[in-house]
Amino acid sequence: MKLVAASKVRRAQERIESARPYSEKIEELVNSLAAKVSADTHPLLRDDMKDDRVLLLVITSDKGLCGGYNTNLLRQAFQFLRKREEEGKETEIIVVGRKGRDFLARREFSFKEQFTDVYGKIDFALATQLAEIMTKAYLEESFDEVHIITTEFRTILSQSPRLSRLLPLAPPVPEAIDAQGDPVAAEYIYEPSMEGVLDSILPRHVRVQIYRSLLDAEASEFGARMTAMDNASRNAEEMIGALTLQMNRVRQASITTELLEVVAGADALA
Amino acid sequence: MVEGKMMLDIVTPERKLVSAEVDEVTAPGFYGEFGVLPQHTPYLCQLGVGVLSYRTGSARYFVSVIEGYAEVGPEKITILAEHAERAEDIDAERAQEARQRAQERMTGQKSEEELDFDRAELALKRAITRISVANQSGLNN
Repeated sequence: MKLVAASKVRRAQERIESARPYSEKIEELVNSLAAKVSADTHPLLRDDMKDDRVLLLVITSDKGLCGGYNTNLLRQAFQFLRKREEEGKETEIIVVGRKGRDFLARREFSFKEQFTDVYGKIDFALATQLAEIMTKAYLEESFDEVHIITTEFRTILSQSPRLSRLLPLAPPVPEAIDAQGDPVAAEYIYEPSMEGVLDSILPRHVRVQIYRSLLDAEASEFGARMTAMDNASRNAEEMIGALTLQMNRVRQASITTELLEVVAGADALA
Repeated sequence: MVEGKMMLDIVTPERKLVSAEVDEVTAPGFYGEFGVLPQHTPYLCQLGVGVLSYRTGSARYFVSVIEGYAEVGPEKITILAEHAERAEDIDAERAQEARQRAQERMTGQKSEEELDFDRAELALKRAITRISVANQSGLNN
């Protein structure tokens, strides 16, 4: 099982890497465009600060046997939701993966949508579907905050839950743009127009972020499973060693006793 | 970088499709097709649905592109496409079937909602694009 997970984690990692050029480029464009307009120009950028309904996308796995992967993430999600509820906010959840659904259903949270059995066939279409639901919730159903919690894939051995705000889109940090040092960006000719490009790129940016979160979660799950299964195999080997030793000792002890009895019997006859 | 050429990268959310040094690119822009030669002024364009082609020397390649952006610089052009397929990867039969389905949907349900019609129209447009890309590569070979 460790080897299975190891080969899957490699594939998932490749998918993350092949998605990276696109998402980085989109992010770069969004940042450079958003820096030039005020936050009021687009509803996805606007933060009306009411904050009384919160939507959280929770990305967990369908299967278990992956160590603390789901537990860590769900603990953080749970704390987040509790905290918001204590502040008097209404929360709703979109959940991906059976583990998260079961955990949150037991704690009687309300689901907006649930997705199970998506792993192994994660594609951009799924991200688009999620993005549509979430953007609609934000724009039309008076949710004021949309967050994602997923497990960030750092390396095969290290994954950790990451909570991030999806909407309203965080205003870009000006330094970050300066750091890119792209003076050319200021002089683009836009087609159809800067606002037009911004209009179409923001929803796409949302989709890309969700897609990335899904890929991250998938790779993390395999990584976590690989580590967990490696530990399990090692523990099992250790236990087999200890038990074999014990078995041999018991056997030897019983042979020794039998020998002693035979010798004692022979002595008694002599 | 060879003098008088530019880098073309076509990336989709799923992968990097093309990375090549080219002489010329034509792409389906928002207001219509546009062509780019090296040393173009910085240009950021929203893409529609259509055929993108690029030329290296005398070889011309075709790619179907469905929505995205083109970022053009003097020596580099980056295409961010939501979907893109090289001509040789397109399954012409499937594209034909998709076209047929879309056509049937468009003629069949006139009374249905507007949304469905738009969707079918978009599907038709995509199918036609893919078919024409597949055909063009056939002529080329």
